[in-house]
Amino acid sequence: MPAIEWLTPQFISRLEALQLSVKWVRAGNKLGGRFPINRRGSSIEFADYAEYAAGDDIRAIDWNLYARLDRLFVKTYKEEIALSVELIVDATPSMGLPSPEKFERAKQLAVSLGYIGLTGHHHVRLSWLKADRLASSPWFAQRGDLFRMAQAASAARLGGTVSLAEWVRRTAIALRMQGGQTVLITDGMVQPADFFRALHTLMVRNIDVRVIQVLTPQELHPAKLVRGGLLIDAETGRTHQLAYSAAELDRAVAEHNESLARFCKRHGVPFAQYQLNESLERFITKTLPVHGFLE
Amino acid sequence: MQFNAPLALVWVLSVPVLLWLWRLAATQRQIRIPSLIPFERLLKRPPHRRTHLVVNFLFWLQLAALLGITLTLMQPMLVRHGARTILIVLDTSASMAAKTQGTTALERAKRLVLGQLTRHALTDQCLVVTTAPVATLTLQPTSDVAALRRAVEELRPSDLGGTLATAARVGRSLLGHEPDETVVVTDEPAPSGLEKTRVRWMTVGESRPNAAIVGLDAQGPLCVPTDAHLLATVQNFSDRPAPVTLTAMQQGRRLTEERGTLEPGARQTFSLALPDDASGWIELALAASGDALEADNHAWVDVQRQVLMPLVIRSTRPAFRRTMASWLAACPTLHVMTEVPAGQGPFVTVTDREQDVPSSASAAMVFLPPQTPRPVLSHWVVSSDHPIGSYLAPVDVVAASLNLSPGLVTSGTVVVSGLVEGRKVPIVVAHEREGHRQVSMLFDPSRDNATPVLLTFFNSVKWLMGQGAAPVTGAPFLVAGFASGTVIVHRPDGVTQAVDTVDGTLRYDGTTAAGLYRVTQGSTERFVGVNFVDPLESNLLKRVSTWHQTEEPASTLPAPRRTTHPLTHWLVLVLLLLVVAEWWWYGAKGASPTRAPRAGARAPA
Repeated sequence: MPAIEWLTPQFISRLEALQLSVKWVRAGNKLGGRFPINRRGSSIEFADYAEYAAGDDIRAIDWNLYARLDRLFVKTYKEEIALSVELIVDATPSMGLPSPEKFERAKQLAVSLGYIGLTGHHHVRLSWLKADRLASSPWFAQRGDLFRMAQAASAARLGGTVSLAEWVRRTAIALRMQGGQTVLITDGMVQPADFFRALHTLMVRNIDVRVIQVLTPQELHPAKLVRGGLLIDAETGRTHQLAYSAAELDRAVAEHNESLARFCKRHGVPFAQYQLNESLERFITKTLPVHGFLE
Repeated sequence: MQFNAPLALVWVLSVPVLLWLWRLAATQRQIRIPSLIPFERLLKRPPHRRTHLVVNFLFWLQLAALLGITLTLMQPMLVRHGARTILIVLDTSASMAAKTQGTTALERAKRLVLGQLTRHALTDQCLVVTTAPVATLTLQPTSDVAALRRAVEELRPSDLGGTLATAARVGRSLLGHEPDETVVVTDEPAPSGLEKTRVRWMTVGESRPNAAIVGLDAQGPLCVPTDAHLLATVQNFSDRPAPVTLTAMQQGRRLTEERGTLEPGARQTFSLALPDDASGWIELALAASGDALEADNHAWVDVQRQVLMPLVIRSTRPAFRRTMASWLAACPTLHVMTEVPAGQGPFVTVTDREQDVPSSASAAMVFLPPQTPRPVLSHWVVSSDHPIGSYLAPVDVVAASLNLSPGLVTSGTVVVSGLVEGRKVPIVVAHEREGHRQVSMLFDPSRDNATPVLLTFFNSVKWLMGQGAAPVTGAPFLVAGFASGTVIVHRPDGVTQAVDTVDGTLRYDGTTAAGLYRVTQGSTERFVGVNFVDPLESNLLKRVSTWHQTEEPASTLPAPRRTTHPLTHWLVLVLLLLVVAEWWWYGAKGASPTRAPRAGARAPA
């Protein structure tokens, strides 16, 4: 069994005090939900009147209206659904550098957010962004699924390089992603245009998108790491003889991250940056609520 | 600072090699990074500043190590100008064991010396010399106060006499020059005339009453096996009468006791009659009220009640054999033979030809009579220091046939010399070396039987048979009768030493403590008593100065010298620290969970 020692009872109890911030729900799983939507359903909340058609349940006919208008109308009720929370974790090779801990922390973050979703009676699914075949876990809907979810995360491994936009497009179709909430956990080592297209794909499907960028301190200040020598891109294998000043390198990284954050802000997508020198518990309980992820 | 090996500076050329290695490593280094995407904008234009030398903390450690190695190989010496040299003469003679209010003078002296060491600057070079025995606490002058403190604290008083002047002279010889200051710590009074010298005198002693055994005589009867007695001379070194008690003991059993009262400064000889069955090593203990020194209150003497060594008379002259036989017949206890005994036991040879002395003889009495016997009237001058001179008048007129040929005996102690026709000639010469005793007598015994001649003869027989006094501290003792190899010497102060014998004879020089020494080898066991008899040390009332000024006047002393301190061992320590720091650097980088593994990012080892 993979090690899940980091899920201590104290940490779990802290997670149970939180809940996902939900802006809207336009689609979701029908079972066990608590969010009513304007779709004919079987709840007790009245939605609207509809003209009677053959096959409608005659018990839904409003006889008072018939008496007044001499026409048959049936009552419709709102449908109550559960929120679908898609947790997409970047599993491209860049997540394994400069330390394997980056990917481990990303998985732990996804499991933690997933458990918060489970405590809110949402349906949670983990997906791994990598070049191989589509890797997604089944839907988790109960609190007791926490450890199954953690084990699924622990078993996940890094895969090959893939375009984020292309992967999102294929996955959205394959998984019939519509409505709900999606949290993208990535290190942001993607072309900004690719990143923008991916988010746009999700947003047009009425998905409430959130982005968490996981970075190590060395990536934020890469001067000591890449001041000289031959640099090899872990994802593409590209090489480059790089020799720049520390300020230039720092500025380049900052500008790249800023472009991602700026796009999210412009489109109302919550964006948070998680540096590994910050504890996971602190990031979840302090930082994410500030950025509108949790409440 | 100066360098003993300046040519080692060539090693500094290793620094460019290090720089080249680091530069090479920087250009050859391959770094896998998560992505080049954040640097896309930078990649579009050529870098305006390229550097191939990327250094970190490890580079500076390696550079420091290289420079340190170069400096170490150059053997730097720190030259200090004006460092002072202090010679400390510490009196450790027996008188320093005298107690005042429960504290010995040596303890007070040690405290003073430790205070001196603390007060002197760290650059001062100190050499501490003890007087008894004359030795230095450190091999060379040092500023290592901790080492000197340890050595001083371990000092114990010895049962030896000491001479301050000798110790100071030895110290100056070891220094190779006149010290800047000589500190004398002793119980002796300060001599006059120290003001013009660089000698600082520190007296720790006080006038104390003391009674001491200053002489010991176990000359038991040679010819009669009974009525043995001990003669012990006791002196009262105080300004008031002192009642004393002398007790002879053997293995804890009290044999006899004598009491008396000594007037101030008086010396008295006590005769202690020993029981018939008393023989072997007997301890003599002196008890006196107010006695300040314990070391001189005990003495050991070997009382032999039976002469075991046979006498072998070897001569071709019947007259000589007759004379010897008639003389020795006076002592019925002696075993006289004419042939060398077949066994391995010791024996004494009496002969009139030196070549007849067998090599196996333990002792020999050789008469060297003149070719033409002719009685000569001469004045015999006797040295009372030697046992052979016992009972002889210091000067006596004797008529004997003397051998006046010059150069007959070249070595030994002249015990009896004669004044003949205006010149001084040796008559009786005693010689002792490596346990072998020999007495040479330059007269004809067959024609002379004067009383001094007979006394000389019997005293010589007694001395040759080993009935001399016990050895004193500071003098070596010889013990024969062991097999070749190593013997174990159990000292009276509890220390055990292994000493090699020479042809079965032990010569032990470390007699710094008075008492009974036990020498063992397998089942063989011998005892030797070593006595402390030194009236100069026992006289605590009026200490006699053993100091005399020998150093140059202060005005003629040379200018302060330069002292050099090698720095190599310190540099080696620093290099070790650098190696440890490098090891830590690698270890810390490998163990830190937050640091990224950087393939190829390490500097060349």
